[in-house]
Amino acid sequence: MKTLNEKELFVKQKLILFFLIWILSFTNTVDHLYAQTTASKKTLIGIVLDESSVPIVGASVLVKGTKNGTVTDLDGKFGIEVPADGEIMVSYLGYRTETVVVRNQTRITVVLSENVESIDEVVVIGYGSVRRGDLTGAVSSVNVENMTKAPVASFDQALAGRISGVQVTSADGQPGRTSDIVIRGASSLTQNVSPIYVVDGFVLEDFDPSSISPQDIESINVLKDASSTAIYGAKGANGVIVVTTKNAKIGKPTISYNASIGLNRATKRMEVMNAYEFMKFTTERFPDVARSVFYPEVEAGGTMDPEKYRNAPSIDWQDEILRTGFTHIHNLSINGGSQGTKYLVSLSHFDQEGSVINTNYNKTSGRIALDQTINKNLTLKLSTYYIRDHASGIVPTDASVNSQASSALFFSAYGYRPVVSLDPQANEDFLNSLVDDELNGLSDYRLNPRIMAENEVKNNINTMFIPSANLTYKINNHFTLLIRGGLDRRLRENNYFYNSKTRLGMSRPGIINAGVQGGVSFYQYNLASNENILSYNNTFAKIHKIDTQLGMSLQSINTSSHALKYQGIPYEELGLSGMDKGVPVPQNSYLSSSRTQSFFARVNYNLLSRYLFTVTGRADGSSKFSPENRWGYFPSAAFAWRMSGEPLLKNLDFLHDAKFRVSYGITGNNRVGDFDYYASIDTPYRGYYSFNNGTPQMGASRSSLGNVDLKWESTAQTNIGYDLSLFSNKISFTVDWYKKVTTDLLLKAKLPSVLGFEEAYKNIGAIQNQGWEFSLSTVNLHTKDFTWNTDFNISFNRNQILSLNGEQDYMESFASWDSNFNSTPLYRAIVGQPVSQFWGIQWDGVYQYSDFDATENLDGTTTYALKPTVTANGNPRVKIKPGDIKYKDQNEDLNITSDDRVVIGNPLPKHIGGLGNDFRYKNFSLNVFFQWSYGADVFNANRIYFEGGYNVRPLQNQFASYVNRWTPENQTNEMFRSGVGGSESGAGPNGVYSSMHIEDGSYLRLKTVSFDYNLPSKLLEKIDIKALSLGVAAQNIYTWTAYSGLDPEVSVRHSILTPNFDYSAYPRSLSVVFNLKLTL
Amino acid sequence: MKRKVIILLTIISVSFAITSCDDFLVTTPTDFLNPAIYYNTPEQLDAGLNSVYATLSSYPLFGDKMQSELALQADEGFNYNAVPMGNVRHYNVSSSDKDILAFWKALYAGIDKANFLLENINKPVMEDVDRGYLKSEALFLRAYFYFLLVQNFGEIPLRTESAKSVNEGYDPRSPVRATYNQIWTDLIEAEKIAQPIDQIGHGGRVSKSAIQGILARVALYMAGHPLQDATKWVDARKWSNEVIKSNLHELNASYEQVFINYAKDIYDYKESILEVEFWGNNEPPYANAGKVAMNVGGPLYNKLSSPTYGVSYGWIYSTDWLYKSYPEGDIRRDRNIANFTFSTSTGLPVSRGTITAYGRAARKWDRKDEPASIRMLITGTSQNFPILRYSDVLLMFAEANNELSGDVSQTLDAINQVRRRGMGLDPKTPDATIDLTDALSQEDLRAAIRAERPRELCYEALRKGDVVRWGLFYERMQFANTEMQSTSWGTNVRRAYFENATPRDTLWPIPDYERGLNPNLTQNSGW
Repeated sequence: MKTLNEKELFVKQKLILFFLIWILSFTNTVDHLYAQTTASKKTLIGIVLDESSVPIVGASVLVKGTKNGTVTDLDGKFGIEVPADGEIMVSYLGYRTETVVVRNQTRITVVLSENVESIDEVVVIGYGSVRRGDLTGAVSSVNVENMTKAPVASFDQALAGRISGVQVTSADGQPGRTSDIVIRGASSLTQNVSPIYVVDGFVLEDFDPSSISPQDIESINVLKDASSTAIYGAKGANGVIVVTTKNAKIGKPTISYNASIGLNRATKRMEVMNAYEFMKFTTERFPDVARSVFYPEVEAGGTMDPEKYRNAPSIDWQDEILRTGFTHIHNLSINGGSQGTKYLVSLSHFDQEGSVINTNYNKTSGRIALDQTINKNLTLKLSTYYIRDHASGIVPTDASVNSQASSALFFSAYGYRPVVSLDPQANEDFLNSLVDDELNGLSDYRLNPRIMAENEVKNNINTMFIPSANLTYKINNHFTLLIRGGLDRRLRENNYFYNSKTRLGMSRPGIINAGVQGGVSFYQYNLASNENILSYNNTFAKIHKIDTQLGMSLQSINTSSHALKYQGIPYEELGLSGMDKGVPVPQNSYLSSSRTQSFFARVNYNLLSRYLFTVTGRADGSSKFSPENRWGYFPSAAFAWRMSGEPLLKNLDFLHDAKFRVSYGITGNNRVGDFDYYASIDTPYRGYYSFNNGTPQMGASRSSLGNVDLKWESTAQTNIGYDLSLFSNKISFTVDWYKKVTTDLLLKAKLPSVLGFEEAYKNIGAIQNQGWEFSLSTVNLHTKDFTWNTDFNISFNRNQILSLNGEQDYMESFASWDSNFNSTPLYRAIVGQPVSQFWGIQWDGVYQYSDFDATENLDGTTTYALKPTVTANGNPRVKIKPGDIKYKDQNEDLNITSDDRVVIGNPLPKHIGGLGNDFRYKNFSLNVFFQWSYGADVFNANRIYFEGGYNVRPLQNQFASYVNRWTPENQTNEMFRSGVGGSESGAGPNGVYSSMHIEDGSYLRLKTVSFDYNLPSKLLEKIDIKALSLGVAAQNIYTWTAYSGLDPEVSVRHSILTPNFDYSAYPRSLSVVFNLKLTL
Repeated sequence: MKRKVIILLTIISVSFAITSCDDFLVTTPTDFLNPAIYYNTPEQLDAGLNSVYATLSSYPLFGDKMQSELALQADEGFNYNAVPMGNVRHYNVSSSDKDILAFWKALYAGIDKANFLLENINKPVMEDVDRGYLKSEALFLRAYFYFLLVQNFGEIPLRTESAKSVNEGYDPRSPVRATYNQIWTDLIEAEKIAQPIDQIGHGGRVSKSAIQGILARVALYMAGHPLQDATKWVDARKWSNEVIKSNLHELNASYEQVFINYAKDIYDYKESILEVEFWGNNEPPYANAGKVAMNVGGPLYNKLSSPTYGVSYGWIYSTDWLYKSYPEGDIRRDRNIANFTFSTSTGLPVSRGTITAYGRAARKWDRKDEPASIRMLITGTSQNFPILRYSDVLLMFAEANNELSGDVSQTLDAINQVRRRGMGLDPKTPDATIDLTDALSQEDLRAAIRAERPRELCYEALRKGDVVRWGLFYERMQFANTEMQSTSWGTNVRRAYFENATPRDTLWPIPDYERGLNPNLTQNSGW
């Protein structure tokens, strides 16, 4: 019976294995499973040990050239029949395969040495590290070497497309702009969804990726599933990015110096109308203005002939503000030490002139790391970073005057008129005057864009100081205690000075009268943390490996902000230092703090190196919630089956590693304000009131309603993954499927206005994210001189709102950019649909003559009346003329109202990914990296103002695309007629968002190319240089897209609810740099 | 060594670990005050009340929009500003109009502040009389806020308790009658405990007279469209008569002086019973200046270099019928409608001579009248805006008394005072050349009173309310439209204001924003 059972079991196992292998389409090699061998001459008995003489269980032993093999038993022993002249191959996952010539031996000891291939690469995870082969969770590693070839200031700018499941986008191309990183889709609606960072073990919330110089990075791992992130409990819901910096190494001092010097310029510029096209448009749309400005000789009602300006010189205002900027990057490091003391010192400097004049970014960072062995059990690691970065110059996305679109930089750059008169001298004078006297300053805030950009002084200076200490005490072979302490101190200074030639410093009677303004604000962030972790690991009965951590951590964050602001500054030539001569403006100041305390534990249990279990638990207490809701509990569990370790699969020599993983867990989010659960009283100056001509007296009122019921938001995530590595890891493939459900969303919910409060935090609603991630790395060619590797990944995420506030089935959001659209929502988050979608009227082209009934009048003119069966566009029917914009009537009431709004676009990509190819030929290397995003829509608001919109201002230039507008001669269906402005334009009613301005933002970008040549070491030895390489690297080389704006990766009002909005974006830069890397 | 290290590390880690969880996690806010511990002193109640008053002076209300953008001038003028046009200021109203939403939000925020104050009003130890004054002001303001809401939105959510939790606010709309009843109850209660205006000494604070006058106004509105509650004529007469009988009020001898007083920051509570207070010019730190004199201060003036006067936007223009409705010699015409413009080169006034009325900007709060020391200031003005003037009280009395077929001599006395002053005569001295006589029928008198109101009260944000309660809104807008079509001034911007008006515009739409948040709100008809 017993044997039968075993047999059954065996067959069953075989079937499962067979099935699993088959689905991965390796059926052609299944016959390996049934391989039989008859050749046997003698029996060899042996033992397989690792370098520390520990027996290796389950190592595979194969007679070379045959299919005859076995595996080692629990004592690492094996017995096999071998021909006398035979050789055996002994292999084990993570170790180098050894080939042994048997000869006369009958007993043999084989020692396997660990190999440093991917599955054995140590992956740094939360509170520890693990061999990739033993990993149970979904953790992706970035190819740091390739990534850091990009000439960028901070690693986040090169991260996009490098890892599956991680979406990296930046708002626009402003130098120093940080990226927005979302792992496996947004799990919150109104709160920050960026991951937390763990840098050398320290948990840093609100981490600034520019804190670390890319050159200092050793590895980046992204923890994605709940099993890996739940150990971070309340902070883990958005994923964790684990950054490890370069370690000091034992040896003589090594000095490396890298320098990159190059140029950058805008990848694209918008085509605008030239002088002649502009004159045609202006005489059509603003005949009165055109007559008084350009045709003073023409009587009212007379004909203005644009031909007069056919060859007039055009001023190109984009030329006036765009430039080719200079980039240089320097890195210097010294590294060395003895067994007892190791050190690493590095210095980096990055300096970039932006493609818009007067915008710059520079960053200087330094790091000192010291490793000291105090005694054989006690080691101390000290590390300190100091970073200062400085971004300066105008911010084009900022419409800073009364939130009017016309105050943004590119409104002026695209829209300032290209022609003044036929007199070239007049153009010259116009280039140097701040305002166009013909504009109506009350509603049109255009300024000479060059003078505007040159004069606006705006600085954002961050100083960061991050010291830390790690004390590791190895209590005995099994217990280790780690005590960690660290600080993250940041000081952000924002200052500005708006002189009389800037949009806010100039005098605009009735609009701004603050005079010359200056201000400075300081924001301080102080984080202190302590963590104590006790680890235990042991192996029982040689097959039960246990690795546990038990820890607690304390974290306190204190923030403060102080600001000074002055207006009416009398001596503008003194700049900021003279601001105290002005009138002080009240500014907010605050002090705040939050604390967290956590306890956590993890058990990794490894059976036979084939069955891997991980269980974690964490309890977090946060001061951000009332005492009743303070504590949150976050458990997780994972199981992995390394099927390639199964004896049956051992002798599949093509199969390098195969692992099936499944995990489930709960993580949290507490990202609300420090005291959002409190109600508060405030006394803003706006609430003051004066009686009897007296000085206004203080007014006090509730400024927030508070919500004592606030509690943790929690995310439950299931992950199923499969890792497969074939042909000695020449092909490695990973697939993951996940489903995240976030409940009790911390939602900054809009409150009904009848309460008297705008918004409050509530735990309301649920979101689900579900997706697939695939990544594939292949070694396509590997010869002595030539290697070619490819990395590919693609991710699909679908998210869906499961519920919102009980009574609400959608939430609307607004893109704040122009007062005409202040109360028109552009986004709707609808239950059952993605977290945000564009919401508006469906565009239906342009009314053509066929939509009208024509009546001949007595005077020979024709009157067109909209046919009764054709829908109006929201304007009164009598006003609608051929060439007007046409919208789709959804409810068939023959008119367009807000009820006709529908979903008009999805800003979330269907899939994103990256493709990297790395070629090496002798001393040359070439790395080519592509990144893409497919299926996301972008709202191009620039076109509202630059393709004939309702509120186009007199003397405003338009995009060249609007030359193709509807006219009786050009009955296009693409662009409505110009009309004569306002409600008489062809643009339909004011303040309407329609799908006309939704564009497909899919793109494929040739993101990074680098080419390097390493000088032959023989040559270098003579001059005592260890290594020297020369190269060239380029970033943002080319983008394939149908998007008509500057760049499809754009989101100038970025939030989860308001993504992919394009207005006056800073152009992205193509940068090309030449590198020199020197190691002494 | 090893033992020492173990001991040391144990002490360090244990000492962290045993830090009491609760102590470590307790943080106290340092940046704001807690409502639970506020309103404990009379001063704190005062501060609370100030913030309720500040609702009146906020931008969405009298701080700016009610004089300019909200198109409350109906047929007596129009907004000439061309950009943007898809807006309530051109009667091109949509349910997502930003100014209407801001109006709604500001009033409900004010109501919540008043509710919260009223709930805490008994907390401090203080004299009952003083507490009564505070309470009467808070009650009045709440009622007045509801009055503005019900006039403009019809059925609205009625909240008489402050917000207690973030899960509230899903109230349905209350009938118009219920809202008026609440307003009435509040005003009646407030009137009993209010402070007399002569004790206050100025028109900036809510007084007994102000409450009585607004009771009369509320009664008139209830008697008109949409409630048509004829019983309210009695109340209208009673309360306006209370103000008249109090002998605390009389017309200022000079119509012009009434507005010069605002410009010069002089109070005359006899004439100007309740004013929205503005102060300073928005120079930091205070932000309490208004825009009335920029909105209704005469023609456009924005001379950039060496300005002689403060900025005026000049975007409300008069209609022809209003201009022509003034008899020859009526000094109110040129006070209310500018007969001049400003030269763009010199910045000096240029006479408009005989040009048609459509080229004339509304003017009442002229910046030229401001003292030289403040009129240069261009971001705001300290000129106050009247909510209730005595001439309005007289006309309300006349209207109510006439509707009730009361003593005609009383009706005539009230209206004739206003007329005489308009002609520059002493209000109290009968003048046979201009006085209306009892030869007029009730109907004629009604027409005369209705015609007198815009002449006297134009651009004081009262006109739309009047024509709506008389049921004449659409008719009047059509009238102005026809008139405008017949002149060369009928450019699209000007015409659009009247063309766009439809009968639905007697009420504004319930803001889309609010309906998006509260599905229990229905929409007014037509939107």
